[in-house]
Amino acid sequence: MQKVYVKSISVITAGRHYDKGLRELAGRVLIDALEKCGDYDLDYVILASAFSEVVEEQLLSSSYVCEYVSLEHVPNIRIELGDASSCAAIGYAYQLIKSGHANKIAVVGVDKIADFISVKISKVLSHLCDSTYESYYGVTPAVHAALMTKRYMEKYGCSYEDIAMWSVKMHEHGSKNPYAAMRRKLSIRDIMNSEVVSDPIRLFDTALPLDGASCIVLSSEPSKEFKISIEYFRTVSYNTPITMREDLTRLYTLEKCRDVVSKFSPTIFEVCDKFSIFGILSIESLGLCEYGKAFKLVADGRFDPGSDIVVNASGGLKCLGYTGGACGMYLTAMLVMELLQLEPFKDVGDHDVGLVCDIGGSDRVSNVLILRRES
Amino acid sequence: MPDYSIPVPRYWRRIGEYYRLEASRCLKCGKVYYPPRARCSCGSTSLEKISLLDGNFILREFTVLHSVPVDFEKQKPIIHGIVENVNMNIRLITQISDVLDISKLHKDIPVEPIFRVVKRDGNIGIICYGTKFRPKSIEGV
Repeated sequence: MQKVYVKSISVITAGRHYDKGLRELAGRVLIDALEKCGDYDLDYVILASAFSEVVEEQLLSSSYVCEYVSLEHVPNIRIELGDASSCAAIGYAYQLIKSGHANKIAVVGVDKIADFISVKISKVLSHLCDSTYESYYGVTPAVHAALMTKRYMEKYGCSYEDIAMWSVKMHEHGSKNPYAAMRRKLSIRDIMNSEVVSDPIRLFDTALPLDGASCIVLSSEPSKEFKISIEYFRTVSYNTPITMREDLTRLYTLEKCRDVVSKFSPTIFEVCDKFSIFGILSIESLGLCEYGKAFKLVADGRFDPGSDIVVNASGGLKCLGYTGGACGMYLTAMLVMELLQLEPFKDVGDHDVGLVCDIGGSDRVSNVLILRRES
Repeated sequence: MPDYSIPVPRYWRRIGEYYRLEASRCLKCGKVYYPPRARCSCGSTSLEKISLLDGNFILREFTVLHSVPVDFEKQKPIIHGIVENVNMNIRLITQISDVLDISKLHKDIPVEPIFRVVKRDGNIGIICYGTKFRPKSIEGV
């Protein structure tokens, strides 16, 4: 079994990139990451994109991205697993290298969501729900998150302001991060004054849908500048409607990864917080604290940079932006920089092992990656 | 190009589920599924089609959606709720209709299924119908 190392990373700050299509965004990070490697020798390009056929009306998108950067004979695959596409793609690349089937793979996460007006974005995102039985009636991921938030508030006797403190904290973390699309600090008042998306969730309490791309090159050889390996990868699914779950205040997929946390003892985390409730439930479901306590611990700064356990030092998706199938690539790239204590993460503390997880839909599927900084 | 996006067969083949809330029930263990399944979690592939319309329904949780998808823009805001058929132990997510004063709506009240227009597919596309739910006692709601 070969070891799998991160060779290079590249990130475009998410935003409304009206002047760039999917291939330009993906091509830019791909070229940047490969230039950092020093050569264009690749065994595969794996493209993670959730909405390329919906938004850009493009199938075979990985092939057209490769054409754009003149990788004419490089085998390519596109992976779609909703907003959990990126970590799934990294996991697939990890398995190809580990098994000796490949030595160097570029994994690109990309999506273009901001081209549309908000009602059309809601329609695109509703495809993450069951199109036949939920989206048909107008259900969107925000509805799932709102129902989970209400149940959590009722079960643990907290207010919406308590939940929204997650966003306040994320904006504190992300305010110094140049890769964060949203860098302005927020107050609870700002959140409570923003428009209601789905009661009780308000606009400033959600990750803003944006265009973005990020690339990570994985190799059997480490980079000359740093040595970060991927130690472990797991995909976990719970293929049951949200309505038939025993408890809406648990992320069952992440609960099944508690043994990963116990085995590798990561001390720095990047978790999916497309809505605040997902960030809070991720902390609880991974076993970092008891159920019903995370909202208070987050507000108290228990997981801030410099703590023994750090969560979302980057500002999470709340600040990085919601980039569909690229979300996990952003979180992974941030974790690499945090482990290396690169700017702007010099104050996160000294961490050797980190965990990144993305969540597809409302706890339908999660991917967990363990990254280790080696000396 | 005509202004429509929902292919008629895609709608037509779901009419049973949309109009009559057709679910599947395992003939071996009796478990009910909505959306219907081809195989029960007990392993049996012998399932029968049943309608969920008969039975008592309770609204378990709800939210008011303001950021609606484009096809629901004219209905904004819309109420989505988790409704439980207490006789068959099955819950589904659906639209709650006929609520004049949202502030008076609360969970754990009896609701009943009603047949309603769900959305219109553009100017010349089909009109989609389906089952929504409304509070059983409309008074005050």
